[in-house]
Amino acid sequence: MNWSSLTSEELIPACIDEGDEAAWEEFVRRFRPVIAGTVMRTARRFGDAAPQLMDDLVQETYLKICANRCRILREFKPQSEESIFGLLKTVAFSVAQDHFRSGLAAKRGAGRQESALDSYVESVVAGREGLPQVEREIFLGQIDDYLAAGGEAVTPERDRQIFWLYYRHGMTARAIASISRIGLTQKGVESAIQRLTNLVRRRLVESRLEKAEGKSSANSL
Amino acid sequence: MEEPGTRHLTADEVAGLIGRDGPEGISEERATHASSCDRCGRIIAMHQEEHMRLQRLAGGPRGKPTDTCPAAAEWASLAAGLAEASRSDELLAHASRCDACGAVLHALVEDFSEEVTEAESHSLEAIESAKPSWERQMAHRMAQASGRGRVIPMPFMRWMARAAAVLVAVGAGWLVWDQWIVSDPARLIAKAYTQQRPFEFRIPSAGHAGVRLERRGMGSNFQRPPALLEAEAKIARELEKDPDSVKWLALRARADMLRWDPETALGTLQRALERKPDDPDLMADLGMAYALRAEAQNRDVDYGYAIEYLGRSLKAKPNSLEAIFNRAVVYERMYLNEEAAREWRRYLDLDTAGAWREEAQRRLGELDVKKKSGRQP
Repeated sequence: MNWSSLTSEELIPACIDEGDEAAWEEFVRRFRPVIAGTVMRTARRFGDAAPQLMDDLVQETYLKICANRCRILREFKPQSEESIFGLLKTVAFSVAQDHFRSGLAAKRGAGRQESALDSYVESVVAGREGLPQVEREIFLGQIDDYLAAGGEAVTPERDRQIFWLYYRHGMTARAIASISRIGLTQKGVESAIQRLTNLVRRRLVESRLEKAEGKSSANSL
Repeated sequence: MEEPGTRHLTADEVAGLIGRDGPEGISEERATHASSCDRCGRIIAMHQEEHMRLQRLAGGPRGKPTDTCPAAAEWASLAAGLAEASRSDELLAHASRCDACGAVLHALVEDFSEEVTEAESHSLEAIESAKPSWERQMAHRMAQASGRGRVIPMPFMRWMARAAAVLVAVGAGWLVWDQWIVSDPARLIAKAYTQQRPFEFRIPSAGHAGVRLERRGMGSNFQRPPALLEAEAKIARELEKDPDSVKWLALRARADMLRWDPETALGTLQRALERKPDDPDLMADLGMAYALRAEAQNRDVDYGYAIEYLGRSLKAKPNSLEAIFNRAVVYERMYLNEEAAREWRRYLDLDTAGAWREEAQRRLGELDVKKKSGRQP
């Protein structure tokens, strides 16, 4: 049997039902890049991607996949051909995260105070210049009011979420478009961002002008 | 009517100028007006300032996830496109308002969606698990683990169904006898536990006792309480007759744990779980076995597995006092004090009296003291 010619949807039942070592070898070979890649990126965010550790975590991921007679794979209902890759990424992430969470718990026992996801979260905001905390809180509230003022007709909930993912969390339009539930292409996301950015910025400037001039400057804009 | 050269810039024209290097968004005549009009210049400067402030929203320190924040695994599900539609909507709504969760989602979406770079590819090829020999070894282990999952042929299934029908017909008298046999070693193990409680975790049906810290389990035959020896002998006899019996495997694992041999208990429980994958009691015991191995071998990663299996068990049996108790202890071990306190409170809601409740109250009180004093244990 030429296992490498099977699609992933055909290969997985073959692995589970036949238990054939050659089929599993194809499974390990085919999905190693996605598993090892996820493990490596997650480990880097937690600050430790030593080769030995990566090997251990890759191995743990495979073992987790085949635990309880491959329960994870048996219960999985793929929505598309790509779904299996998403599943394996989540398993690899959860194995890596468990490892660092446990390790950090031990360090906290030795007097360190940070929570498990601190270094993970820091990896996202590192190097970005931010606003002073109080100013940021006020600014967020102000923008939220402007976005809410138009209601669902002017600023649909999805567009508001896109706006926050982009500005508050610094995600790129491409990354936002990759969240399948958003349901837009990158261009669609960019267009939503542009529209709400213009709206918010105009309101912010109007507010400043009103304060400065004591009257509305909406007509001039 | 105003001349085109003197008319102030419109909102769209100003928007066209912001965030760009030059005035490509408007005509030359309008750009000339923008550069010569004080009012328009001031407004453009304000737009640029607000633009910069918006850009800086994503920087700076982040808060920590709270008790009400979804688990990281849920964000992974969303990023991988595996979460259900309604849950995805809830998660997106939460992420858009929560700095910590938004950052987690950001990282996951980035890590899951971006192509592997050349540098990453080099790193991945350099590790041991990239070697064909490693892959073959792994495949061998996976084939072994899944080998028992072979599809049972249909004629055999039909035969099994007939056999089951006969067994049901033989039924009631046997059931009574069987219950008596099962409960006996279970009761003996519970008794042995209460006599020499060897760890902080609870086992089902056992009375309360203080933990005996001076000894690491009931190691030698000499140390073992007679009740445990008797139970082990009965379990061994039953397993000799039926080596795959889930109930006897589960009891043997429990006896292994009392002897502080979590490694053997894990193997036995995995074997039992392969035969009865959804059994909440097996999963609860497996959670306890992982927690014991974490302690015995200083393997912190096992606490994560302990939480996972206890969580699965509680999903099926949400009011299991032993599982809630044990999960609270595991959280304490992981220094996740808030989660532990939440679990103890849940326990106290369900267990209204008795020594186990008193222990839960004491432990919750100790966590409160730690919280007030602001120190980690």
